[in-house]
Amino acid sequence: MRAKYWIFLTTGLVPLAHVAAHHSPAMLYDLTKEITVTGVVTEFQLGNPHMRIYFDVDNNGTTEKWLAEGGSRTQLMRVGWTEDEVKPGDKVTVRGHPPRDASQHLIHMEYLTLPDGTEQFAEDIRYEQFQRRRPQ
Amino acid sequence: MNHARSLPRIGRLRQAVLGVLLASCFGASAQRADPLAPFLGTWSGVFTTQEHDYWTFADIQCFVGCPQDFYDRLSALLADPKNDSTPAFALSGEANAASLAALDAMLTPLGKQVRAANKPENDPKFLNCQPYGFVREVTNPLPMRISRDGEHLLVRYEEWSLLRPIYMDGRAQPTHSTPSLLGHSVGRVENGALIVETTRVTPDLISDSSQAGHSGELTAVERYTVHDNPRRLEVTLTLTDPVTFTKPLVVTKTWLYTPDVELVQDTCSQQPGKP
Repeated sequence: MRAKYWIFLTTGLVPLAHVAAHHSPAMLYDLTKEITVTGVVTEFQLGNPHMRIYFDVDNNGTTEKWLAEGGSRTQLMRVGWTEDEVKPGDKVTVRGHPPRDASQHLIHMEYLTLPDGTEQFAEDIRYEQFQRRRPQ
Repeated sequence: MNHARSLPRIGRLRQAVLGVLLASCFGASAQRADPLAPFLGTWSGVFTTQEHDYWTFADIQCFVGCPQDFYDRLSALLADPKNDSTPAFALSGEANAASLAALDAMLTPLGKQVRAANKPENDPKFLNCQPYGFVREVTNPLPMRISRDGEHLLVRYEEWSLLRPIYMDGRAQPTHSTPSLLGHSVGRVENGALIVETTRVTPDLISDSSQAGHSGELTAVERYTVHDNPRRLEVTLTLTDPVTFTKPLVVTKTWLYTPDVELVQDTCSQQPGKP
């Protein structure tokens, strides 16, 4: 069963982890947990190796700098991403997995709720469904 | 009806049909005789073909290729009924820990130093928009297209939109050429397998997950085989490097045949140095 966490209590600014390259998300993230974070976009890159959204999160008056890491550039383009989904100033909600290092303001983004309210799958692969795919 | 006139026409028709049949037979045997034909086309990994029933959780964990021992160990754990109630990611963690320990045991003292010194934050390919080196490019998760270039092969990787020639004319490896990202590759077909040997590769990581590295002394042998049901391409990549490994490391990866997949042009839009 998925645990659900809402981010409210973290204080202070923590340097963002360096993330890139095509790595297994299990390297950096706890895939058994899920968090949801809402903030205002400061930068959006449908870049290689991974899509990134930099966004500010208001934590009781303190602004936290967050980074959401999504899927691969060309893979997302193949399923319809265009790089016009969000722009700086948009309010978005990111749903995904927290980092193993809980001090990082970092999220492995699976779903992105766009300004119009639609939720879009933002990863390369639906890892959850493959947990049940075992050799016969 | 004039049968005297129609008989020759029937004969010509038979000749034409026979000709078509012979042509298609010769065409088919010519294709069978072409040892490179099975390898040509567009091949895609699990990212692009994730709805296909062929893939298992172990394949997902190996979307960027993985050591053969990891794949075999994880597959065995997943298949064991005793583990039915254990989350697949926990089994993957167990297999990964064992594989990393095995990798560490086969590193030379210098190889251990290199691995210890490699940190993602020190890897320009992690931070910046820079193409991968040979091993990470060959095992990357995105589609690739293998085509002919005269008598040679040309691999176009969607990842970083890199082109890689594989020389098939029996030439020897160069001894004095400048090392490069993807090195110099020569290939041949043996018993239905495409064998590609690569040297003159600039030092780089063998994978992001292990952070182990190889030197410029790397010799890589890829052995590609094509299988059916579903039609797929499998590679075993054997990495030999006396500077960093005490014995060869074997990496494996699989692609499905995807003639309808178009490669997407890759570009860099990330600001250099920005995390």
